[in-house]
Amino acid sequence: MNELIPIMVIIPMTCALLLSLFSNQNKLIKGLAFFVAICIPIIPLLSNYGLHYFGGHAPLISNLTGVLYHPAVTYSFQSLQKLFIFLLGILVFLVVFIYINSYKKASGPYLFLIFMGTAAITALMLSDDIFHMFIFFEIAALVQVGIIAASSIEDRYETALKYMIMGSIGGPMLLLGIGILLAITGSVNITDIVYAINHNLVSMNSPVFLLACGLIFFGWLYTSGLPPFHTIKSAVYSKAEPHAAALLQAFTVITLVSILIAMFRIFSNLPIFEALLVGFALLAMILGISMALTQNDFRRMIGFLAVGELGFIVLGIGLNTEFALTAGLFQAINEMIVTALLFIGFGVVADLIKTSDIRKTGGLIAYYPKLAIMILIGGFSMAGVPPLNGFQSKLMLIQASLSSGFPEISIIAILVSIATFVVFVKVFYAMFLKPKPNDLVIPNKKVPRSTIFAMAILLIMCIILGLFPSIITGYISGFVGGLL
Amino acid sequence: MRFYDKLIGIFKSFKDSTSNTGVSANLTAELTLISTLLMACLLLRHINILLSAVILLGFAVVLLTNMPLIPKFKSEQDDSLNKMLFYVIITLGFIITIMYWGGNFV
Amino acid sequence: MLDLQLASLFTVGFLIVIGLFSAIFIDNVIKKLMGIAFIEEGVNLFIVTLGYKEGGIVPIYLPGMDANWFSSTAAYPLPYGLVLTSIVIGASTLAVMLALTMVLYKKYGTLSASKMLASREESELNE
Repeated sequence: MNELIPIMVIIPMTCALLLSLFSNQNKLIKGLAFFVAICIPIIPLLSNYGLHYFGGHAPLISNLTGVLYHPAVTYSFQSLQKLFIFLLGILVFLVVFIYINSYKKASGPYLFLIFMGTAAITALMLSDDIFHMFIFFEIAALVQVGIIAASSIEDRYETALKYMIMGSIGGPMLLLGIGILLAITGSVNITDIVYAINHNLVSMNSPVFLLACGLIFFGWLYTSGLPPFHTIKSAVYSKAEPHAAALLQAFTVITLVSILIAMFRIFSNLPIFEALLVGFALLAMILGISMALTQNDFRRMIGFLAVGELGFIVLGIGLNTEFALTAGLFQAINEMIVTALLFIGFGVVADLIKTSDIRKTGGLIAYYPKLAIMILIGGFSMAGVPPLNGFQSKLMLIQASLSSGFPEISIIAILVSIATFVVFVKVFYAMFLKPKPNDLVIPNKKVPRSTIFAMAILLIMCIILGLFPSIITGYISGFVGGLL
Repeated sequence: MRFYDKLIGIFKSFKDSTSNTGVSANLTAELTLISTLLMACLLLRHINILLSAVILLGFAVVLLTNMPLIPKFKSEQDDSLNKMLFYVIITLGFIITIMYWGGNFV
Repeated sequence: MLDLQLASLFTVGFLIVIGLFSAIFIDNVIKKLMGIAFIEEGVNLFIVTLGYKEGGIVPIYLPGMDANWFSSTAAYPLPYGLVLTSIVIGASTLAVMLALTMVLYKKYGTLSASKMLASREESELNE
């Protein structure tokens, strides 16, 4: 059923518009949001692999040159897209579930933002058209700003404005790079661009092509929050509501992966491209972890860790072997799950005790034991403790870097994992084990059941993927085989 | 004794040195930063071994003599828009320079 | 006399450089946003310029036209399609940024970026 491919984008988008329209009727929008949130993960499971041409404009063969080209916006749905859209669907379901259970009156515009973001990110993952990707990324960026501005945390407007100002330098540079690619290949379809490059219709050594690569690379750094955008990205995470932060980091991971795959298909023949990828990956890991260690705000700490973990994904793809690519994409999936778990867990604690400063917390294990255990296991998974999922993907990455002749990279990866573990020891001690400070008031409120349920599901996913990684890696290696 | 005094000076220079955890986390960050950056310098051996040796030694001297690195790093990566914009523009310039003039030589 | 396309490309460079300059160096947030609008418009102009053809015609295929003549003289239509979407995106981004500036102006009573958008810890230290 290939007709389901555009439906994956259309359903959340229509739902978003309807939610905004009926925002006065509380029960209706809660029901609609819940129903659509269940549908979103099911659609990719039912759909077949294939291509969808918008407007039915199938590819044409040019009479003059015999070259196949794509006149329509093309969506390509393969095993990787299936995996990521399914996982995004699960996360959206959990986030919507938490939201409609924890607020008596659901806000239509807020749910609009969540579903619009989902639609944009799904389109970004599916699209085979680089300009289309840019447009949906900009929509996703606006949604992110909206989600931050809708939270109730201090300084949210400042962070939102800073993010948009930085984005207004990154976004146009990305567009300029796409424009240059359009100028030298005459197309914005990635398959057409790759064809032109592989058949020497475009000179790989021309400075203009290299300039396009540099500009798109810079724009990609902005879209994925790698250095130098890591400070603003972690601030964005720490200013959103806990469930929304979990969704925002999933958006970032999928944006990173989809644009990175597009760039990899176009530029992977340039040796300097891989060098840049590895360089920025190492920079993200080092800066992310060293900043996370020094933070006193635990939400900000997880934000920096989330940015640092992105480095592992990029590292896998920068190493450019089949095994490394599989490891990197597997790490992307693990990071989505684990970071969502941690954002929800830490965010709930911050909401309950009204502070996120670890110097003012302590002794919480007596009040929230279930939450403490789940946060601890999530932290172990992110640090790469066996038998959890983070261990499997990090082990694969270390093996991949060893076998491609870069033992230094594996040593750095191990050091960063150890430092991640230190972060969790520090924050777990400061929040849960340290004696309770006298001025800390713990409200007589229980942790919401919906939050515990969502965290439990994410935790079960962590453990299952840790024990049986082949469930996921089979899908990924099928896709990677077609990519190389 | 000189090195010991220096170490004490480092502890005192951390702004949030009121607690045990704060100091040990900052110290971990310091050590991780130095060791990972030096390891990353080793990667240059794929271009030229001599270059990597020179840069590694130079970098090690610079990092070790400026020892409390973390306070400087932290103040450079805070939330001020001006600092963030500065690094963004530096990176843009760096990437474009590397790609436009150096893209063919790697 | 400059070629129209070349002149247009020079304008693109001029707009982007001026925009970057004011986005980086001017402290007033509204002026920063004006600079950002300059960058966006510069990039849009670049994409429009790509479709230009010396002596070209509007790319609408009318009955009675010779297909070969049409394909050799019509301007390239794809950039115009793309630039419309890009303008809309730019306008909405600018609107959101101005709205945020309004909120922040009410809070701080100033438009200076170095006061409004400074680091929180820094301002605490100065007090």
